[in-house]
Amino acid sequence: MTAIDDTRPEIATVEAMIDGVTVRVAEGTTILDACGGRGCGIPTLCYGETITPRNACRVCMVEVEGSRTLVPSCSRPVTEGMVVTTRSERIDHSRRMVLEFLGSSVDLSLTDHVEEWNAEYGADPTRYGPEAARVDEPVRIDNDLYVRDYSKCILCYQCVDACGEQWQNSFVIDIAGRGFDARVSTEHDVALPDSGCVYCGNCIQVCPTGALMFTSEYDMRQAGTWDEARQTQVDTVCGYCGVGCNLRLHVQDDSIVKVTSPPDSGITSGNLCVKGRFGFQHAQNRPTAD
Amino acid sequence: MEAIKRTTPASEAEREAIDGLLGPGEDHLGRDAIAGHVVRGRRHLLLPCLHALNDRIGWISPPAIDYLASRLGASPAEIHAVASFYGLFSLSPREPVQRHVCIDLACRAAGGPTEHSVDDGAHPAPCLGLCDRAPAAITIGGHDPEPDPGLAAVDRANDDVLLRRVGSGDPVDLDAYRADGGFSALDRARELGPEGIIAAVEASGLTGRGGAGFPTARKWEAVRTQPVTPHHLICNADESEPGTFKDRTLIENDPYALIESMAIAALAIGCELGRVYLRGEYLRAHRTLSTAIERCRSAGLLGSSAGFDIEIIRGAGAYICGEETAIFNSIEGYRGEPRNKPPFPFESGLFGQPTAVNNVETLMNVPSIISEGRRADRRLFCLSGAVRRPGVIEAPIGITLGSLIERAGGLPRGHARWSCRRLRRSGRP
Ligand SMILES: Cc1cc2nc3c(=O)[nH]c(=O)nc-3n(C[C@H](O)[C@H](O)[C@H](O)COP(=O)(O)O)c2cc1C
Ligand code: SF4
Ligand code: SF4
Ligand code: FES
Ligand code: FES
Repeated sequence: MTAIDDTRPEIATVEAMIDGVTVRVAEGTTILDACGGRGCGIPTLCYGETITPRNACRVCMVEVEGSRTLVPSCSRPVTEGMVVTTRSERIDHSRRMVLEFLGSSVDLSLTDHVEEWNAEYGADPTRYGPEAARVDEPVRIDNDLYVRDYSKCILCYQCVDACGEQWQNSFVIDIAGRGFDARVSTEHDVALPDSGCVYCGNCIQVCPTGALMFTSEYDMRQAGTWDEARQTQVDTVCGYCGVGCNLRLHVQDDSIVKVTSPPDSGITSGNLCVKGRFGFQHAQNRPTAD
Repeated sequence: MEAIKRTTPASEAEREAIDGLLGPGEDHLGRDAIAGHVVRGRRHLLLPCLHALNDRIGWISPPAIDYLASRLGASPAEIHAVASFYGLFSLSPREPVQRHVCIDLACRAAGGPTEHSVDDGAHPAPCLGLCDRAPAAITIGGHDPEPDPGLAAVDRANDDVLLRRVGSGDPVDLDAYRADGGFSALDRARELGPEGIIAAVEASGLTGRGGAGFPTARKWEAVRTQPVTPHHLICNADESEPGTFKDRTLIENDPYALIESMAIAALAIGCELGRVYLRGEYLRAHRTLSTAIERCRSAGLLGSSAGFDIEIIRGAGAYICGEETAIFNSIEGYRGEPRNKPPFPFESGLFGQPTAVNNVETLMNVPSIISEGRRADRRLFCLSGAVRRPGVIEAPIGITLGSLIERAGGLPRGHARWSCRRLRRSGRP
């Protein structure tokens, strides 16, 4: 009988100094993760829980000794002997500019943490005045399941990557156009039902700004009845097939109002198919009065 | 990937334009028989295909995008994303022949139109690199695109090195180039070998003329010593900085010198196929350089027998594609957005392989460094706008603005006083 070698390969680590504190992390760890990941105090927008970021938003920039330019902490791996500063006048200035540019050109009202960051960095998105260029487009409502409001979109690429090579492999949407005219778009900007969309909703799951939204949520917001304080979340398992995807039901007043999947679920990593994502109505068809 | 069936297929002309580059279209059964990686491995032909459509049809139609997608194993949304990135392409119908009229600084100063006053049917364009002939316009598209008019103006001086051959006879006369000592630097470079070439360039103090001023020898040495092969050489001829037209001047007037320079650089870094990423608007430069490359191939100076060849990739109207990592994406058939650095081009550039990107002027310094051991202490300056003789001037690094303006004939009558008065009024010293 051959003995099983159960000694684990040693993980290579690197040592660096972050804000004056020495840290040792596994090789390949990003600066942001070395700092504690999301919520560690460094703001992030295009860095999602389940998507490798394209570092498109530049709000997470930090200083690295010896680097002429600021460095995106969400993507730059820590290297041996690196000296990092996560807060300085230069960094604050950069974050303030990014928040003001984004905030003046799109609607960030549904983006988590933006208000606190604006206060923290002294960002005033209104300072470019009412004439500032602004993406102002009608909400695209072209199917029954979800809406697209690109006046909220920061072009973070997360939906593109969720639909494309990072998760769904459908490649239905991409960023088209350039500069201020750049938009997430299907081919020729056709409506979703005319595209190859399979309505997995994985793009909605990763969108940080609310640009992509369940129609159920959109309608309730329009009617003024959406109220997260009244909502509970229930984790369950999808009953449609044998895979056993984890569902997180968002429930308000005894009705399912949207479905997500826990990003840390080992089965789904936050991804679902159309049935798990949108096929919940049967669970709450109430008998009619008579 | 879900294939959506649209009703209109690509027209015969559209298919021909695309098949001309990708080979005859396979029918459905045939396509399935071809491995996916072979189909997807042709993605770098996307930009040339889009040019073929634009030149022939005038615009990129939805059925053409669908057909391209099926031929390249990509989704229509991805192809649409790339096509919509470039200023020279249109996604709505228009005539195959397009007129682009400059609305930038030098041309405006010379009475050119603004964005809103260009003629009907013409496209307002950022600086076309023709500032010496302001106000400028070009015509693109159609079967045989007409090159923009006239050669660039230059102010020649006797001690010119970079501009030595400019304005002296037929730029594509290979015999004349050889009679003038052409390709002797390449012979010398072969004797020196890669390390010898790099040492000579190091000694000359040559730094990049594309903007960042990086030491050229260090860049080449870094690529030369990379274990991953192949190594790539890209000549950056995307020149789009408003007011700049030196690279165009060099290519239009001395194409063989660029070919020789690239051959030497390729020897140094160990590269067999060099690429020139040429600004899409530079039609005359494209024609001149293509002719020169063809003639070199016939003479055995390029091609398989020479161990080195050169390919031209036409840009398509995107300033950002002059940034070196954006060039990689553009050539590979993706949106010309810059990549993150690190990894740096010398380790992971074009197709993820070691790559040296060098500006045209940088490369043009190389032959005289190799054959004469010259120091790289001269630069090209582009003068346009309010000077009497707009054009390219070669001068030692450190020349004052005043002397440059003097060499360009000084300010036109009335101009100097007007600007001095303006300055005084604005209260500046
Ligand atoms: C936005 C942007 C545009 C650029 N455009 C050009 C260009 O048109 N031509 C060029 O040679 N370099 C351009 N560069 C610089 C290139 O990235 C690169 O540094 C240069 O081509 C390297 O060649 P060199 O070392 O010979 O200068 C640009 C850089 C940036 C950031
Ligand atoms: S729902 Fe799924 S298939 Fe449709 S665009 Fe979003 S990620 Fe792509
Ligand atoms: S729609 Fe959302 S996920 Fe997609 S790019 Fe815009 S902000 Fe990012
Ligand atoms: S979070 Fe790092 S660049 Fe967006
Ligand atoms: S060509 Fe018009 S400004 Fe350069």
